[in-house]
Amino acid sequence: MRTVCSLIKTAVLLLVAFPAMPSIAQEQSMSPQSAGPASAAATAGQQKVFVFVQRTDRHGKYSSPEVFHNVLQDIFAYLKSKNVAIAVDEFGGRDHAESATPLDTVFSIAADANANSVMYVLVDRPLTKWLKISVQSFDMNRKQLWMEEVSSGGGLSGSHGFEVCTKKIHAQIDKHVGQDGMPILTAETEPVEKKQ
Amino acid sequence: MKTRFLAVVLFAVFSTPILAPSQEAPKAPKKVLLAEGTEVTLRMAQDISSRAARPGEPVELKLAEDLSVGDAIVAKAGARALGEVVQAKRPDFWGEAGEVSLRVHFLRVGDQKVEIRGALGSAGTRYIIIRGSQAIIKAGTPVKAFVAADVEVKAQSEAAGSGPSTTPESH
Repeated sequence: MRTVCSLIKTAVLLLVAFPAMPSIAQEQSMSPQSAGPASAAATAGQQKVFVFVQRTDRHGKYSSPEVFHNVLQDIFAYLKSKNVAIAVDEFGGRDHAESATPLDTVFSIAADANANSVMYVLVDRPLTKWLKISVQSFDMNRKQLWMEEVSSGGGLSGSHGFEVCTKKIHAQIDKHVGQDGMPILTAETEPVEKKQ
Repeated sequence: MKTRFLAVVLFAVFSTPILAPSQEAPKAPKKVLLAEGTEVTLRMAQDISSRAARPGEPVELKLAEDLSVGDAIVAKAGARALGEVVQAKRPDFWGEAGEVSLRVHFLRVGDQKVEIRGALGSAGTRYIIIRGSQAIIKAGTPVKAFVAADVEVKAQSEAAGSGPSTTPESH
């Protein structure tokens, strides 16, 4: 009877020990992988907007590239000062184009950058204005969320138009910060963004 | 005594992950060798005009058709590719036409940036005395490129009903 008992004990011990080991090993091997999706989920919680600044053909024809690049820099600097969560295109670093780019392409870059919305900025030079900036916000289903448009025809030089236009567009964009299509950085992700 | 042992056995049976084999980690995607010189058909995803283009400006392209190695598809049509403007010249008053040319650098294959080589150029029409026309490369224009060096990439999927791949599997 004692022998039977000890056999059963050994069998139980083996049964407990051996199936448990692979499961532990599996847990250990899975832990880095499971950390990935978890951290991805944490970053996925942060809504981001992909900002793309497009120069129109008319601006290319009648204005200078410097004006376009000044607008580009101003828009990004303003959005950063407002803590807007901007999605970055890691693959190509695209955020602007000087030649016509179809919206399809803009949305494919935005999807690649894991954005939740798109802010499409058009820099134009109509015949009667020095500078016109229009901003459209879309969700990823291409539904327009809002649109703002400013222009300046005053002054004798384009530089005056630039100042007037950027002041106006800041005021217009300000209304949407933190709302649909313009998410702001959450406290958790802010330090990470600053490090980058 | 017997009841105690029976309890221990039952505990052991139900507490251990006997069903663990069914929860195995998903199989890692197969790696295949994308050989140097493999042809890659791309399409322009944006316009490039000699009016606005400047050397160094990035150019967006996309894969025109699935890129496969043997039976394995490594990149699906629509995958992004990147290039840059290497030369841009506006037309002048004396009739010289505008010129623009670009070079292709990278193709996105999964999470990898695969180096590719390819180029495309365009010139406007040359006139006498009046200004020549702008050179424009329109979105949708095909661009041929080639893989620059051997590279291991992850297969995205395999063609339905395909047998084992002819390409060497590497680890």
